[in-house]
Amino acid sequence: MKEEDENASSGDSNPQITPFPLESTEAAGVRIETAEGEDPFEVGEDSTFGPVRTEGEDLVVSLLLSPHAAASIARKNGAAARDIEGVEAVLFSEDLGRKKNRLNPRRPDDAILAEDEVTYCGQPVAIIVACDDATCREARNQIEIDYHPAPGILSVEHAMAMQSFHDGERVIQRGNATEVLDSTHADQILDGTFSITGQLPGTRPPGVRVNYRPGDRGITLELRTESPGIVRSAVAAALDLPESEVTVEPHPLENNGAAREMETAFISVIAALAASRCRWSTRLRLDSTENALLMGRRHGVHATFKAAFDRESGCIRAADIRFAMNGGPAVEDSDTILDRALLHADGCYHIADFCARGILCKTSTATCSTLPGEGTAQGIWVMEEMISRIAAHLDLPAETVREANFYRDSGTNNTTHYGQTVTGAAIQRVWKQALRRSSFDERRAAIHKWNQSNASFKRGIGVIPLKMGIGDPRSDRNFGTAQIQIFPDGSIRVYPGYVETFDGLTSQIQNEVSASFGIEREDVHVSPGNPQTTPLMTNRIGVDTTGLILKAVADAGENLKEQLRTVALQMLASRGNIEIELEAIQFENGCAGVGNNPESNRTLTFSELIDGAIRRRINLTGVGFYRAPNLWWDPEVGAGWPFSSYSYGAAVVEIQIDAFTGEIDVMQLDLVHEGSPAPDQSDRDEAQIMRAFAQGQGWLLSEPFLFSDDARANMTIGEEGIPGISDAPLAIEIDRLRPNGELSVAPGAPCAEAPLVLALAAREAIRDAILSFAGKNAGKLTIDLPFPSGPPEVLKTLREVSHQLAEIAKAKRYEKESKAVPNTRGPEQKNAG
Amino acid sequence: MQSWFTFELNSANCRVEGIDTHKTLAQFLADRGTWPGGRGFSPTDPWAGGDPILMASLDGLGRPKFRAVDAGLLLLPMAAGQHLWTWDAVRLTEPEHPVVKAVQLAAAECGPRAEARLGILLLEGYYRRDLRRIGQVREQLDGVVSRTANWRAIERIARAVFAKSERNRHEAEQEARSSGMEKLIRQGRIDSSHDTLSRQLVAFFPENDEDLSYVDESKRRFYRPQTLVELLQLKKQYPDAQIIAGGTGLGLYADAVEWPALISTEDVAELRAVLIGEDQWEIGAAASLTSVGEIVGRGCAPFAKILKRFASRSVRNRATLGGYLGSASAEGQIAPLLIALDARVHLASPDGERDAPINQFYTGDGKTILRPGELIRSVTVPRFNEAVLEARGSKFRLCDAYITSRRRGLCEPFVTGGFAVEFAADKTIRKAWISYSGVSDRPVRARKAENELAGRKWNEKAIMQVLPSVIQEIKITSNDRGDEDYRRQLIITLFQKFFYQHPTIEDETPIELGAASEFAVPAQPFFDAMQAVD
Repeated sequence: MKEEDENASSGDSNPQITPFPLESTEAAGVRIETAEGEDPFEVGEDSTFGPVRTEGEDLVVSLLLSPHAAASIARKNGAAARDIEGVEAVLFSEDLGRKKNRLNPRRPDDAILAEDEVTYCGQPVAIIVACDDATCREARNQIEIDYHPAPGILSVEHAMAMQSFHDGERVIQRGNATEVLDSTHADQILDGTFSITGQLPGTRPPGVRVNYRPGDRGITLELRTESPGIVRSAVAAALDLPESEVTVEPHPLENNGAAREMETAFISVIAALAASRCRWSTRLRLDSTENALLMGRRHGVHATFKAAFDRESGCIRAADIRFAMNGGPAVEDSDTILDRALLHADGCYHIADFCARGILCKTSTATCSTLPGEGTAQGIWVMEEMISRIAAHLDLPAETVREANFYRDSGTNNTTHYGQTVTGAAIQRVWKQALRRSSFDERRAAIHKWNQSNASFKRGIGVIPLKMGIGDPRSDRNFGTAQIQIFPDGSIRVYPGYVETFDGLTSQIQNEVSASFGIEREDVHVSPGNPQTTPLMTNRIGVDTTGLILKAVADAGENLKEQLRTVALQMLASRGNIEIELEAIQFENGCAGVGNNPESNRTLTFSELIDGAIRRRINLTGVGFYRAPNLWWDPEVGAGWPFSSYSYGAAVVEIQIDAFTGEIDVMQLDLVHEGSPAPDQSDRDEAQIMRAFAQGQGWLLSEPFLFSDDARANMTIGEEGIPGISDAPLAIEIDRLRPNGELSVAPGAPCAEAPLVLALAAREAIRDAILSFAGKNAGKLTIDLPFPSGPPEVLKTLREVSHQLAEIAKAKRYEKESKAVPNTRGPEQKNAG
Repeated sequence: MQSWFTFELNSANCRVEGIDTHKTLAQFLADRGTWPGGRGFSPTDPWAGGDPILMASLDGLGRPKFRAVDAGLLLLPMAAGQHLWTWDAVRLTEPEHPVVKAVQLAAAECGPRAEARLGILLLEGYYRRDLRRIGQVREQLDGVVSRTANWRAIERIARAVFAKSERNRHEAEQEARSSGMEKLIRQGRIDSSHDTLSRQLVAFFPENDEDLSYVDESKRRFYRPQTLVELLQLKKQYPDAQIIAGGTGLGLYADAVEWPALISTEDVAELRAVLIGEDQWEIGAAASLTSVGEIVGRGCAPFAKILKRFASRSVRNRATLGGYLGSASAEGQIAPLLIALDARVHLASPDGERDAPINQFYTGDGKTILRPGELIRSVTVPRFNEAVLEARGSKFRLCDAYITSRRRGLCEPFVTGGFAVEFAADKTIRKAWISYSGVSDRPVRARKAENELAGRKWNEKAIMQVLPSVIQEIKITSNDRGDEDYRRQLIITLFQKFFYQHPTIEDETPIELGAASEFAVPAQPFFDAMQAVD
């Protein structure tokens, strides 16, 4: 609280405090009398404002969400709701005031509570604070809002038609794709479109608890969030507090997929405003419908591509891909997602003249930027779809076309369209390993044979390679921090700067620190998720958290060990060992010194050493920091070195289609993934791989994306498709490969996101199976497989295929008949199907 | 009337006084915690897998069994007199239990709730005596639907723990052979696992020998009578009372709806029984779908198939046919098969009894022919042996049912088809049943097509000629998912599938067209006694 606030109670109007808008409209009404200059949201010792609660449970905060995707609001009336016993406050945007109704400092333009216009479906219109859930519900029903609904923009296609965009187009290009495409012969060109729909995150609805008592200096928040820093700065800005007074206690996240950034800041600000307004602790928990609407879903994409290729080999000479991405009602972090899509639009393929463009569409649906693989998957999948269609068009096996286009380690064939270098050999390695491990060629032949003797069920197999950039294009995010504290008895506490997601990083840190200091594992306590100790935290999604954090921890350890070595030298010298060199002092087996025999006088026990350090007043807190070096990215220019390394992988998936129902069985998965030289992490890595693959499989196959005006329907429908163990592949093989040659910048296990992209192999396999229905006419078909490819979509595609086959058969018959009887006027119209 | 009841939670007596009848066990556990030092409990959406806990009960032959039940769908008064265990308690009190060790060591699930769900389902499977083959793993664990499941690790540990359980049983049987007690081991009356839970299970004996009449603080009542007569009397006395069976259907609405009085059928012996007669099975309205599947499924393969895909294991352990029919769900998966099996539903009231074929039971729009004061007593399903068929004038019968849905477990189906054909001695079709659910507001039959099939031979031509009538007759009502086209397709293709899987009249086993099963070697047993040389 700033000093000037002492004047508040005396009635002086103080420019630092936001005055309460007494001239607010009838909508807000006047419920609480305030003297001019008093801020009803003020937090601080001298606040005597408002009813004083002395006991009781947390107040419950609830939201009234807009049922319309777009509407103008004519009237808001909360009078009836406020009269209900137990309701502490009903707040509209007018009660918050313009400044507080924003997520400063990141989103200064977009309203938290709808002001006179609703910009997205589910936008909160009112905040209700009451003593329990039932009262909140009752109050919600009593609030009267007059909406004048307008048609909202619910899809990317609609946005494109309405020319509703954010900002301008972003371009990353190399060479001159347009020129080459224009000058190529039409029979060597393929163009098309591909739509990728969004996916519901399907995680537990988030909640936040704000701990505040009247007279408290600051405010504490407990919630699950990936970025406590962002929550902290948003709440500090909303309540006009310095960030140092805002304490965030992040709870562990269930897994990487539950990471949320701006969304948690959003609900935190709401709960904090409610807490400061009502002078009591509050808790806000979204239910599943609210979660689906507010937390957003993946960024849907509508891509248009055009490619020029060589007919013999399928080698692509030039390509132009345009992404129209759902950017939600406000840009937020969606521009980074678009950047990631453009940065990955090259897949694993070298294309000499390549142009990737993207634009963000302004729509009325919320999008989420922190899901695993967000942006990356969209970019890669469009390229892979393009290659599949080229292969189908040329009647070549898709694998051959892919191999023809891989990055190679010669000349300029190993540079991406934004200028970073790729290791072509790594791509070859994972690719070959996947093909060999899965006995691809034999299985393909076996499947072909099986298909020939089965009319109503068909199997298919597909293989996809992957190159995934590790690192956030926003270079300022590629860092790790850690703090190590040594206690007087020699035990150690580590505070790494990340939020726990149960992916095993914590135990890996424990292992490394105990090995580094030579002490027992039990003496090392790792305590992640402490923003008070490490105010800057590393994100879980999009960067190589493991690598960055481990390096930061190692840095902290080294800083401490340097000091401790000096102490050890002094202590050993005082025992008469003056010939010991500083560098020779090792930490192992609970000892520090030369050799690790505790009996000898050339070593000290660790606790002795610490004791000595304390006597000598040596600092036992080590701070570590690591920044991934040489990273930069300029979105204006479309060039840079945004990734600290690449993660390579490949997957082979075999599926079976039931032509009666369109249902798909995933039969076998063979996945190869490169990374993580840490030796004993195989369990954790396998878990991460499976989870990422499952999420990808759901996105591609079973999770439908429908958007109707009924929010609850959307949510249930989306969640119903999440694959369970009964949908898992019947056989799973996973290979982890250690990175070849020089260890890329950071060791770590970036396999929480890459396998999601590899799930595309299932879609390839479906296409393969559908083609097998056509037999030898496969090359003449155009298969438009919708996304996602659930049972209805597969059956629809099969119907179209059978129509196309019927047309082909008819055409053949006509040809045959017109050759046999040259004078016939027209073909016999026989209905073949 | 009493305002309290007790139950055993984690081997400790738990007394509940005055608590709301609508409160679920999950909410209760969330309020008080599951075990000292246990992780906090917060209820999960049942469609996302729910919160299973372990309950001890007796099966039809009086043998004690553990059942995983969803705490979020169990109203608290239903727990009265039951013995329940939560994962936290097992995890903390028996860290050496094979299931506990397996779940903790393998990175199979993330987060305490998902881990608890997996753990309880594995525990139930560990103590099941009929889990023999690898292909049954998915059926046991089909409630594991989460973004955080590590499929590979889960299959691995499931196979390992189920194999261990089989091995223990095998070894105990060997030992008991000398004293002639191996049969008791197989029946589970003697402990073969030698851990606390199994000892408790073997010693389990239900204490529900009295009616329960419970009233909560808001004067809402919950009755659990022990005989059918009492149940009917209660219903007559309180005509507004809601009859509740397993609670898996109504439990979803416990937050939203007010029931001043609830009458549970759970303890009524006449309604729980599944009677195996020579000509028919009589399935009590309060028998759990799991027991129904075990008993009836043994003799009727389509029944087992359909029940295995009903919701998930923990739901099946509580759901009943009475509750299923009473809820009159338009998308119900079991109704088409019951129609195809020519089943009849028997209704009882103080004024007497009556029965009706299943498809006449539904009157549309969520309503049934139940009169006030009437309840569902049982469902009879004919056993189509030679004698029964002959009495009906037929020589052969083919029957099957198909469910299509977006995912295999815990999913509302798109369309379910139930089909049956009876043949006279001259191999012509005597009668046919073509029924679907998920197409309109109630399960329907394609009567016209059924009549057209009569007298014809069973071949492709007949099917093709009859399909247009099916399309004409079955009107698909739209829902908000926009998949009418797909469902219209399905009503044709499912019937075609039925034909292609059953082309031979004499052979009622379906042809495995897809043979996905062959891939994962489901027939392979967890534990092969022949190979156990040690």
